[in-house]
Amino acid sequence: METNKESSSKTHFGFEQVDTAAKQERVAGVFHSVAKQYDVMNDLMSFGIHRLWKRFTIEVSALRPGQHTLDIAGGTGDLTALMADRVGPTGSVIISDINGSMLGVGRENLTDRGYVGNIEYVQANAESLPFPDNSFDCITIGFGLRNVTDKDKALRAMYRVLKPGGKLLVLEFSKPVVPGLSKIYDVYSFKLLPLMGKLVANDSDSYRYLAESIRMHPDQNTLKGMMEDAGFERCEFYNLTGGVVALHKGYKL
Amino acid sequence: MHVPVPLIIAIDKAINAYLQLGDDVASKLNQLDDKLVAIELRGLNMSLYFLRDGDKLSVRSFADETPDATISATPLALAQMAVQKNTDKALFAGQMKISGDLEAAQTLQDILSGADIDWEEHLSGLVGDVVAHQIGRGVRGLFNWANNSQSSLHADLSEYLLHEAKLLPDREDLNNFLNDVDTLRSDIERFSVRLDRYESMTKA
Repeated sequence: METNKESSSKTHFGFEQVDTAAKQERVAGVFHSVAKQYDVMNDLMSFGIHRLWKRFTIEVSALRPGQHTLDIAGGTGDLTALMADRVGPTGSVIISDINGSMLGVGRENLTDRGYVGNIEYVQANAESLPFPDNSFDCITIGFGLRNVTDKDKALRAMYRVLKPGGKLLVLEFSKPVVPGLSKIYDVYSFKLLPLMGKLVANDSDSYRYLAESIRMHPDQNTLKGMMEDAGFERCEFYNLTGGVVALHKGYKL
Repeated sequence: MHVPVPLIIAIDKAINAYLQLGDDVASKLNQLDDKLVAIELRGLNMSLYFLRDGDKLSVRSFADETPDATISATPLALAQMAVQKNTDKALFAGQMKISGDLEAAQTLQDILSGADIDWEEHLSGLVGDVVAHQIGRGVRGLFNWANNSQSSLHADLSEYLLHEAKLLPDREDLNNFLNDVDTLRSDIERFSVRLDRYESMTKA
């Protein structure tokens, strides 16, 4: 019955309206097609600043050796590598992604860089995480939440698998707060981004989807409210690079 | 407020690159155990957190737990410690405050100050000996200038209060006055004793 109800409802895929059931497939298509050049494109599109955003996320995580963490939508493993350094050999990082191609690229990346031993790979949907309740000290999801079909359900799932006292960190594109930046950002993401996607990755559609999905993503305060609805407490966010990206933090208490 | 990420990365790299050079750093780090020590930059409302991470000293700008020990100091006091060698630690007594686990704070202080970073040597690898020496001289000069201006300000202020505004007495005048008071007190005592003697004589 549940599937019937879902398939009849609509959700957004970029600026398009698609069936809820179809979104997951369409997103999967995008990431299958960009997986190989994902890292190169990230550096190119953000002028390398995404490394600082990720490093800041790890700072806020305040991880300590021996802790157990989950990196949802871990993709090519940037956050996972930083977390693996912090939790050390006595801790663990589980990197999960719904997309097999991305997870495969991530696994190759991490193994090539010598990250083995405290990392496990799980292909899973963020809406229904296959882990017991109260499992993790910290959960991160970096540039992944906007691609999830049912964000509220995903946030509730993350809340469930967090240990009491654990925290969730959501790193995601958001709404620029610096005056004037919005204009530049619009031109950049709708004109330049698909062009770069076409030239470098030969795939302008996928990159247009990335730009559009960023616009459809809830802004800072909306996302904070969604986290509070899912049960998180002491929620706050940090605007990075003038609000182009925001890091949300919430605790399960 | 938190310390900007690029700065944290730079501090972490610099400290750890340096610690690698020392011999007894590992044992000192072991002394630190799993204690979290914070250095609070007074006036800037910023904190740095230090935590042992294997054979490294991890520097962070965020911490969830309350630190085991907190060293609170003005940025100038910290900078002076880093740049000037063989400086009397007592000099900073007033500018530095330690709370919580004193031993842990002391250990961190030992690690950081014992590291005795030769900034000039590090700089010379980047810009060459001559320039590094010039920079080193410049920075030391700056601190000397700060010290000199502080003491000359002190002298000027007391001069003004004494001689120009005449709000405070000169030390010499004050001493004379105090001596006069003492003499007067002795005179009175002698006089009262003599008075007593005359009284007893007249009674007899």
